Amino acid sequence: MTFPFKLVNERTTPVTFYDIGISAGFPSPADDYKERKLDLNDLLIKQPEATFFAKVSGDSMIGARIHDGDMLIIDRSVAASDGKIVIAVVNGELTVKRFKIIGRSAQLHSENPKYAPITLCEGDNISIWGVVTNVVHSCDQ
Amino acid sequence: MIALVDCNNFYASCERVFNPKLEGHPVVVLSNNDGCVVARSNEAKALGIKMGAPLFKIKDLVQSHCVHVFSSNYELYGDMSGRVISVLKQFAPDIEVYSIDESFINFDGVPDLKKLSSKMRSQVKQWTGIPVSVGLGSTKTLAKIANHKAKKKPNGMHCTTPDSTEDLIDLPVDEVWGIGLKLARRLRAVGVFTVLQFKNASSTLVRKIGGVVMERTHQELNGLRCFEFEQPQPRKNICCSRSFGSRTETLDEMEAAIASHVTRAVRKMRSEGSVANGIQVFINTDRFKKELPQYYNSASGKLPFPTNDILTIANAANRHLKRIFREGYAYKKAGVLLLGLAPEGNQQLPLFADTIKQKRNGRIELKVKRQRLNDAIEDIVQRYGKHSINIGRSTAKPTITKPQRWQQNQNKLSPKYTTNWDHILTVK
Repeated sequence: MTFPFKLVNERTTPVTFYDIGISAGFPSPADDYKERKLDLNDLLIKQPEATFFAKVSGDSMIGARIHDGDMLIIDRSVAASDGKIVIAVVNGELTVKRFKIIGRSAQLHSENPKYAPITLCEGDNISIWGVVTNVVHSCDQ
Repeated sequence: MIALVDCNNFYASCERVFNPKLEGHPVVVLSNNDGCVVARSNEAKALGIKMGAPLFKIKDLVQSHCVHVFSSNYELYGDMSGRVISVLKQFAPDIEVYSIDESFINFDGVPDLKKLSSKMRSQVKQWTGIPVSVGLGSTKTLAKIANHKAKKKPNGMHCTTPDSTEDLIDLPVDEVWGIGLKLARRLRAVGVFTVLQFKNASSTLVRKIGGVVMERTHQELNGLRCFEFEQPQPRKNICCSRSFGSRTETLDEMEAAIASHVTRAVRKMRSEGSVANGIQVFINTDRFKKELPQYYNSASGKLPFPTNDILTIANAANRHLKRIFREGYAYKKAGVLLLGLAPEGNQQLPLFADTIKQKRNGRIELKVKRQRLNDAIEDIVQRYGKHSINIGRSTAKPTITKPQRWQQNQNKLSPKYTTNWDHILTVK
């Protein structure tokens, strides 16, 4: 193996020499096994046309380990059922809550004792916007 | 059967999805430059706000009725439109996207369309938040009319046949797809006022007034299919132009505007995998300001070779601009048109391009680098958004806080909820 440059004197700084790009004719044996890189979207997003993102503000869901500043992945194609974490519209405001069905009534619960649950009644101005499927939490906060 | 699926008050509905407070309140969306109304919620329609009404004319109404006014957020509407279309495609593969908020669907041979349409409507609403109405008919023209009726029904669906007298009897003839104000006027002159009268008119009369094109419309109303589904054709041209937020006078500012249009046009062209053969640049003053001196001109020419290289195109555009620019005018609009688009890879390169290995002269080397530069620009845009990098002229002076005069007025722009990480929803 020859270096493509001349050594001027002996007192040089040692550098790591990566041997790439001079394979003379043989393709890499890994070429046939090249696969697509792993894509988090495949794992986290089932229905792209129904998926939206939102940022959490506040600590009302701290008990469900949803922190201030976390990013929520919301899938509107998923039906809200008992126990799901949902985005609800309460008086025109979007809010994240746990959806619970207790007997014949539906409730929205915060996961923080500071906030009281909301019971959904006929004629209320409350609707479910979407179901939270995943939470992205940065460990750097 | 053909279905026409139309998003109700599309732009206003998009704003509502992410801002539920707007539900039940009047909402209007303005055209580019916040000029006039291009979308209205039902509440805004009920207030008597007309399509195309200039903002200054409805100012009082806006204040007295707390109308929510938005600049058009095309990034958001484009994304939401794509979502709606992809939900629709799950119901039938043969779909013609007619406009940003309308699609024709071929349902030939599909049974129980009532049930299917209802399911389609509720799925689009649930998944995307956008309300749609479905018009069914045996031809596109009938489906269009059916959609008209569907909008007024609580279940948002309607089917119109040539025998649906009650659908056609009170509908003015200019509500028919393809019959504009001019043709309608000529029809009224011979006593044809309603769609029903038009449908029952003789084809000889129809042809005499509107030629074969209107005759086809006439046949479609009578249930004979004349307009087939159209497949998207590859584009031949890309045009990027904007009206300026305020009058623009200097060459500097015009160069900046043209450079920014080139950046957008080239981006579009590259995303479609095309190269351009030529370019046109056009500029004009405001023809409504009759008291000001008027000037409009355009210049065009072939590019040195078919290319999607942003710098080659920007240089050509700037040369053309300098040819036509005249001092002393208040310009209202500037634009660029990329001409003769062809798929990348098929283009005839200049001869020296394939001698790249043998000659190794500096010029060819530069071209490889140029390709890398274009790729790098693409990459930066992907990662940091479309305003993150621009060619030198596109910001005339580095004033970030104050928008340039040539930029648009978009004072009431909502966040780009679905296309920008910094704009996503906040929930408590």
